[in-house]
Amino acid sequence: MQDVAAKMTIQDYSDRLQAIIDHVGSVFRGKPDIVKLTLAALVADGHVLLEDVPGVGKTTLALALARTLGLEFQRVQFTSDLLPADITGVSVYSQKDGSFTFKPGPIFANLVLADEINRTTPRTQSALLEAMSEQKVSIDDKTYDLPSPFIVMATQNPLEHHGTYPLPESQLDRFLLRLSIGYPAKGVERAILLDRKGENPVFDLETLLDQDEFAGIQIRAKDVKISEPVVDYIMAIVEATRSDARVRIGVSTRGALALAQACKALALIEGRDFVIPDDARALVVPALAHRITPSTASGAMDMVQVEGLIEDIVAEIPIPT
Amino acid sequence: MIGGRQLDFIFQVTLYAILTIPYLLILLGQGVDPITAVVFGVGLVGSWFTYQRGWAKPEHARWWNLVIIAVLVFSILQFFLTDSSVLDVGIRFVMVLTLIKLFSRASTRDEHQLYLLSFSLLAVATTVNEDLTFGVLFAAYVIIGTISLAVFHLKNEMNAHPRVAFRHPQPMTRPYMMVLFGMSIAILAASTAIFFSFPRVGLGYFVSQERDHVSMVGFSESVELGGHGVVRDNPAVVLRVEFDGEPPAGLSGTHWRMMAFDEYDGSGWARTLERKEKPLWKRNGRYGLTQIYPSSESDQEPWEIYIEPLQTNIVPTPWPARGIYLGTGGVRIPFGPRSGIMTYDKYGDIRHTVESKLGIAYRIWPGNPPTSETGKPTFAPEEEEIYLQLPPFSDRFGQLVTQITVGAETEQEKADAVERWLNANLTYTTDLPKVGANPVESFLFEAKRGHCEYFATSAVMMLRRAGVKARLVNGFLGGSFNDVGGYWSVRQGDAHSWVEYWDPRFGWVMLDPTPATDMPPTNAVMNTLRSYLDAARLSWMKWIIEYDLSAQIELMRDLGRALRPDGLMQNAKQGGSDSDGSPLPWRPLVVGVIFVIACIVSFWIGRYQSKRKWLVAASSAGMGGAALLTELYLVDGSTTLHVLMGAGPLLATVAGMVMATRSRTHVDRVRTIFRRVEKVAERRGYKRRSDEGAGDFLARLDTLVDGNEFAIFRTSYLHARFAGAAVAEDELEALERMALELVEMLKSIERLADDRLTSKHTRR
Repeated sequence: MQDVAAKMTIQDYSDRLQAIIDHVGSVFRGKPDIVKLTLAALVADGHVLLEDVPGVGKTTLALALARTLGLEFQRVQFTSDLLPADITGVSVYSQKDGSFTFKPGPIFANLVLADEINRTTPRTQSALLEAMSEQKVSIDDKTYDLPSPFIVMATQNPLEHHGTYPLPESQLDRFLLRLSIGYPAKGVERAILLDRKGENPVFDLETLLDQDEFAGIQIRAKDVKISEPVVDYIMAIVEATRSDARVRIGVSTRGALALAQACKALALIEGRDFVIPDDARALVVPALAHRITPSTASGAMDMVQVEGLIEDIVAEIPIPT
Repeated sequence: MIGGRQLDFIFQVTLYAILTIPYLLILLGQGVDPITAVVFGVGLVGSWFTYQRGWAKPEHARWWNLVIIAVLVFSILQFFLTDSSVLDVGIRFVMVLTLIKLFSRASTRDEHQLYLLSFSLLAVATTVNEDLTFGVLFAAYVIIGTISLAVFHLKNEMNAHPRVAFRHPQPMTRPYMMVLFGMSIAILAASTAIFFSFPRVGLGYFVSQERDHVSMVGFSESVELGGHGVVRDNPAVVLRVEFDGEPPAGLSGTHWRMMAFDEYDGSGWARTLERKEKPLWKRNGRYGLTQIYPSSESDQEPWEIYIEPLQTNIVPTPWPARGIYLGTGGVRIPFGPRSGIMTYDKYGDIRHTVESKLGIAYRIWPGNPPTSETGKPTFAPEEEEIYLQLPPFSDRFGQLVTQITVGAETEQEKADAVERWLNANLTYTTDLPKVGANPVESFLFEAKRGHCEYFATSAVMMLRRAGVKARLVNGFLGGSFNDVGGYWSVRQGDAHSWVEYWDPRFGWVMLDPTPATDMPPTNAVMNTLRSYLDAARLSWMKWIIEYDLSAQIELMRDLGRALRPDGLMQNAKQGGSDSDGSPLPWRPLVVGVIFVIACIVSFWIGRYQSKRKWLVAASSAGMGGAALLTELYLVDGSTTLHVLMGAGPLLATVAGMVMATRSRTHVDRVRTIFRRVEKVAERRGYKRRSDEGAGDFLARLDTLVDGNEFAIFRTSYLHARFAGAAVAEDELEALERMALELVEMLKSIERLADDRLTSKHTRR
């Protein structure tokens, strides 16, 4: 694998990743930008929070990516009575040899789709989020490493407030990007309706990569260069969120790092060995909007409003050209 | 935080500069004792490093304040207990305070105080330094000070509002600094204009105050035979003479008389007559000197003389002078510290009673040596003896004198005989041989060579031996013409001794027994340099130090004349024949201003338009030509001046181009390339949106054309700009070529009337 990676040029990586986007795009249609950003998050080894109404293709997207990238996929539907053990797994007593054996939960997979994460209790949420940040699970004094790569794609429904437990800021911070898919364009939706025969075509999707190849891409993305003017631009954005009167808590250093990390992955997808300010500009809202606390009385704000706020702040910072 | 760091560095440098400039001024004006000077210099440098290390802490402020109080108490005690002047104690206190603040600097408040201290130091410096250096350094202070204050303000604002700072990642962009610099120049120009137009009464009263150290041209009031050769090459200027019109011929033979000596004790000269000064009588607007120096009428215009501060208040007068007057041309002294009178004593030495330590200006009406018996000046009989006094001499000396003066009847014949003999038998040298117990005899009989003092002393001795009343006179001989300033200057190295003998027909007559010598060749470059420096000094004296109400009125009159519609022509016709005072040298000024403007324009074009070769060449040649033509038309100077005028703008262009290649980093050049494309696109209606970076913008432009030129340019540009690697020269040139093609392409596409395209565009 190392030999292959050494021979691959940036353009080769880019071609592969573009092929993946096209491939996923054949089943998750009309949203190439969303596919690209989600793929960027996966390449950057970051978790994605999809915040959207049900039925716009969140699961399809996750499944398509998992299949294309050759990742082991698990899906967990979060409900109010879901327990931490239901995610992480349990130790079961075996009567045969009188010992406990560990039955891994659904979290032991490369790509975990955590559906409607805000429906479950904070206790269960934190079990998942702990696993996300530490890449391992502790049960009965024993620690089990999660597979690598380990990526969580969580979805949450922004509209329903009854029976939901909103994720606290500290937990939201663990997601690299927050995306919302939105309804497909009319023409695309029409085509989907016309073309759909039988079951979701995502289940027939071919695998394009094996796990090692995907790991190689992830490693390569870390080596993408980020030059001083771009860093300065990111710093300016981060500082601006901290000093804006409309923001109570600005973007943390982890947030700035996340933005830089996502930028690198996006640059690799675009076929560049270096980050440009446009990358940062494109990723500002997905990477930072869920990391700030507005200065409203409750500290809460509609996702669209927060994104507008971020856009406002960023608009005042000239993009280095 | 690049911008902030850069800003901070500029702030530090300018702050130290405006503290160093007053310090240098005080140092050059010798306004402070050497220990304080050294301590301050070392402290200034040291504090830079302690500040960088962040040694000063705000919590130490209390202790520092205690130190300040201690220094204050010490200074007050010093003032009352010792006889130091207020000024000296004050200077020392402000300097020590500045040092303490520099070392204890931990907050913006301390920096504010440092600015105040810098202003105080400058104010102090004005009282101790009235030299040309003040003008130069003051100009630098105004420029740097303006920049420093602006940067200081900006820095404070940025610290107070970090968000503002980050909005503009590079606040110290070139335009900002250029505007700041331009503003500083404008402020300097404005303050200069105010200086010349604001009504002034006289020169600074502070300046004339007694201080411990004032730099002065040495002039000794006693003569010892022996150590005279040293000053022979001292280039310090003693006096400068300006003439109305052409300088008269024979100036190099002019004897500038200072003081006379009567008693010779065998090794040195002294004055024995009672020191009693009588005021000179003023007649026809001048003090007459005819009763002191025998002379005949001359039709020469009066000379205007500026003397440097001397250790004596004797006034050098060319022999023979017929009249003298304090003040020059339009500069009259109605009142103030410079008013004084002229006196003379029994030796005929002329003194002034002006209290100034600045040197004075006066006018001299020169005369010719006496030809006919111009009356008999009084000669006190009790003085006869002293002018015949002789120390013991051997018989050999007596025999020699008798032998020389055989056949000579009158005083003049005897004097001529002595002069002839000395000239024929002895040689002039500054390389002194060892002298015996009787310097005159060892000079006459053994060494047979010596310098002017030996010649003069021997001549006096021989004349007295022959019964002629004679005395030794010290002063200066000759001098040199300063081509740059157009005046005559006499240096300390021109010091000379000669003889005056009593001729009953006329009075005291000058006799110089020293044979004429060839001066050793001097370094031509150094001389030219010295001439320039000295000319600048004279202008400084005339236009800054001596500048007062009457000079101001004169200047305004000249300006008014020059600015009259027909003023230029009239003035050109009149030439230098203006006889009312000293007119403003407006023609050299105009030439100078045009020359400076030409150089600045050339430099600017070389610096910022270096890509447009034809423009650079044309402007450089044009500016050089313009300066040269102006100079030819207005002043018609020397060949050197022609060359300077023509070559100055050329050199400025070259300097600008060198600067351009040096200072333009690759990043700047890369960005300039993109800006050009961006500008042209904007003119065609495709403006870069505020949320578009270069990448998105170029991708959008790529959709306009069929080819993939924009895509290629986009890749290359983004790589050059953001890959963080060094950009090779050929890569840059390729980019520039591509940009030119794109510009052409953009010009050919249809201009977009509305913002149609933006709606078509989707992000990424």
